[in-house]
Amino acid sequence: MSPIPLEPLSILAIDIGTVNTRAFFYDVVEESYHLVASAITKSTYEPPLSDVNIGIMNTVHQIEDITGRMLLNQKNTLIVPSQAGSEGVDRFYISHSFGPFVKIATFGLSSDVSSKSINRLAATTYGTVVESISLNDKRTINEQIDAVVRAAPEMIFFAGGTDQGSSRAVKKMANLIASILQLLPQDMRPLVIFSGNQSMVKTVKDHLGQYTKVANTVNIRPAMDDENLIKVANELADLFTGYRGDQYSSIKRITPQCSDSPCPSAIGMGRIVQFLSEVGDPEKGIMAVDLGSGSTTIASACNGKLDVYVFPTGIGASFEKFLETTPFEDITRWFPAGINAEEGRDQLWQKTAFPRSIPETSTSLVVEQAAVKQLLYSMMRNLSERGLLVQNGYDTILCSGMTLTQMGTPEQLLIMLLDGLQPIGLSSFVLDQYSMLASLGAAARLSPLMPVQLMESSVFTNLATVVSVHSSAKPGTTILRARVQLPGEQVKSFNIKQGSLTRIPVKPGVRAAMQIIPTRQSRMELTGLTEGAFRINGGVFGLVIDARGRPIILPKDNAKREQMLQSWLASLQGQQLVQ
Amino acid sequence: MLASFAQISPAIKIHRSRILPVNGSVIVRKGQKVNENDIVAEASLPAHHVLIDVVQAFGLADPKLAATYIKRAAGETLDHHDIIAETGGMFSRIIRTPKPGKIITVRDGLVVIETEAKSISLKALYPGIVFDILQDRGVVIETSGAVVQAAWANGLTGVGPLICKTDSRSNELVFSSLEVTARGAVIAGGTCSKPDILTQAAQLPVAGLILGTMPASMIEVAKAQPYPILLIDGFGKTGMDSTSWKLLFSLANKEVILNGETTGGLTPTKPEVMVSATVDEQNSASAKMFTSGQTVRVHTAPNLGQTGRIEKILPGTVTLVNGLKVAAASIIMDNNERKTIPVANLDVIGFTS
Repeated sequence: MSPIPLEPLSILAIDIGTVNTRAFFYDVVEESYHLVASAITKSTYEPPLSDVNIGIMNTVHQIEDITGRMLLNQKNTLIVPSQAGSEGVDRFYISHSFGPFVKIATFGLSSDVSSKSINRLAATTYGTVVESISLNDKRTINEQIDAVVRAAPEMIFFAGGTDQGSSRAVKKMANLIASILQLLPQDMRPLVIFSGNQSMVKTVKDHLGQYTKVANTVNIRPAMDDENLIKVANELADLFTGYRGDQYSSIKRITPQCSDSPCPSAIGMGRIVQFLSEVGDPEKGIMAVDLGSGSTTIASACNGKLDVYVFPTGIGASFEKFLETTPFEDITRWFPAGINAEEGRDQLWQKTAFPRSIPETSTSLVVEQAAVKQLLYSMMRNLSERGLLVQNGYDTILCSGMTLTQMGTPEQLLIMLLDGLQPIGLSSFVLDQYSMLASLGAAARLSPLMPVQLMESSVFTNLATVVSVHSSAKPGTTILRARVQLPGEQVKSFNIKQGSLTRIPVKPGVRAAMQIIPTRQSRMELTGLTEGAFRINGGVFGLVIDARGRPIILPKDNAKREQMLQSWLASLQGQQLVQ
Repeated sequence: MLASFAQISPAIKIHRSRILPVNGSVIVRKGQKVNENDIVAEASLPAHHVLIDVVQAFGLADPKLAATYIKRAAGETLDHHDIIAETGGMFSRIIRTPKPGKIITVRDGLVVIETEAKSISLKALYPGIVFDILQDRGVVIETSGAVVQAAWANGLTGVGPLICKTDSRSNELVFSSLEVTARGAVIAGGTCSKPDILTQAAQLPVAGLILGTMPASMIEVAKAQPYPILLIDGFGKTGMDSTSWKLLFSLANKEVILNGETTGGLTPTKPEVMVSATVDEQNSASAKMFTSGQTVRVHTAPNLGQTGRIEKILPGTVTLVNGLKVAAASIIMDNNERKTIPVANLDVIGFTS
């Protein structure tokens, strides 16, 4: 598939997350890259250990134990490049998402152009916008200054001006930033990153460089109708890694051994999504969702155009913000029968204090899954409101992170993803069970063949191909006939009713032909689907037809709601096959 | 396997940072002895700023001219209506300060004035020796004594004599626990599921409340209280773990420090209860890994708050009743029952920080 010649290199990739540090050892086996071993341990950047390298070394020792290969020398330093082909590794990569979200203040000239772009840029990294200032800000200058000083940002993102545009407004904004910088204590002055008019880079650096560190990237808006978001995000990634190195010196110590500069996990994941969208259907998008403990990243791309959005909420400590701002009924609506809501609330809050904890009982597992459903749903709604979702749906939805890929039976995982993400059209759900997407992206710049071959391998699980249809017909009405033909078999027809979830077995690796024929009563929109025959891939659950509508509306009556949730799960378990 | 830790120790030396939110002045010296109520640092929190653009106000064609008209310098204090800049001559134009304050900067024709600054002071909270000075920001205090780390707190600090008000570690705190002897004291109890009790404790008032657990539905009420509330084990109704309870019970009537401030950031701190005492020998573990024989506390239901000893770390993974495959340990619980618990749900008790 790839024109790049195979260079047989052993690769060690480390992903340092908020609660877990993972290691992946890849090597060439029978002419293609394979995942040879993986390891996981708790992340160690926080007290009492306060050194990311303790976690890294622990995973490397685990890899040594599994493979029998010596990776560390007598000084406990990683052997890079490999020696005699059997000691050490040829390439070493790090991706990272640990550490608190960085407080960012954004400064743009116009609130609906440069400020909009620079705020989107902030969302591609592990940062929270604490203040946003533009020239058409309705507050007085004094109020703007007070607001930024109060917010005490750690970084300032400054954009504005097209490359041939006026420089006066940029100077004016730079003056305001200079005044603010002088009000902040010297050791608390933020790093300023200028992503505006390139002819002003020297002026801005000279002016603001008197007070703080200033870095620059390419212009995020070189022309009014041209946005360079991902290019700037990639440049920002290196600056962000450098900033983390200033915060946590332990990561700085290991960086010189890396074959490429450590990469924020969100950017690594974005690289893989972008690549997949370039080789996939240009009309449809690719999405990847990584639910972590400290954050959630949703990366999507269509026709090579990438969007990365990092939410400051995950399923660990940062989950507190979500619990505080979400009506608890929005979570309990996903509870199956027999769950005590107050015990569920206690459990979820306990998770914020002990983010690594694992649900031990069946009840606690479904409580956590219910919270994840609502969390994913709220994030997708957020992206939809910002116009950041592809209209025709996503051809492939890659799911990463332990909670999305390992916390439940395959049925539970699929229904959690369907209820949370509520996809439209035709989508294949693929599980990244080892949570390696970010590390593949970290390796992609210098070892491009490895991620390509890994993506095609069996380490990614095709959970199901889902056809989501939307109809305004009454529940129970037959809205379509699905005709499915497996290789070498007769065509089978399935009548699909409004409100149902239907599973049609198609084994992994098998490609089937499918056709959807709406009934007269269906009043159905075929968003993201075609009326003609199309091909679908098999998976653990084969083909699933989701006719529950969008958004999924649950009955207010508890008994009916619980019965409905139970019947959907039963459908996936194959207890209610519609034919 | 790398372990997680819960600091529950009857005798330990610790270092605790006390840091101002903004730069200020540290008013103690290294090696100085401090008590919990001593002020160690002070700062001025700027409330408002005023930016005066002299170039624009005078309509100057050349911004460099502004310097000749500005009559003030950075650092000067201003009274109401003091002159900032004036053009001079017969029809002199004048810019006055709109508010009293202090000039922070004068540059490029821009004058920035800080107004309405608010003074804040930082207490030592921990009695001990100033171990290190964090220039302009605060101090590190070396202290020793008993420490019990908590899972959650409402963000406040306090000091007072400790009274254990429930008979057992799992009992509920009741209204009758809050009689007059509880005034000014730090109350310890197993659990509390009545929000009104928290409100009544504020009226008494108490100096603080230490609970094993509390229902999460009471978080809002707990955050509204003017005194510190610490939950040793977290959320629910199970009460306090036996190790913490025994230690706190042994400290009854002693002056306890409640630090409910949880800071995020680079070195996040957990809330804790501390009783100052001289320590000759530390009673604390120092291993980084889970190993057989370690005393552990379970922090997740259904065994939340139970303590025991690691019999062995089980090889590979174990399948739980809910189907999850996890790394686990065999634990001999305090009641001698053997249980298999995911290692992710265990804290080793007593690690030196």
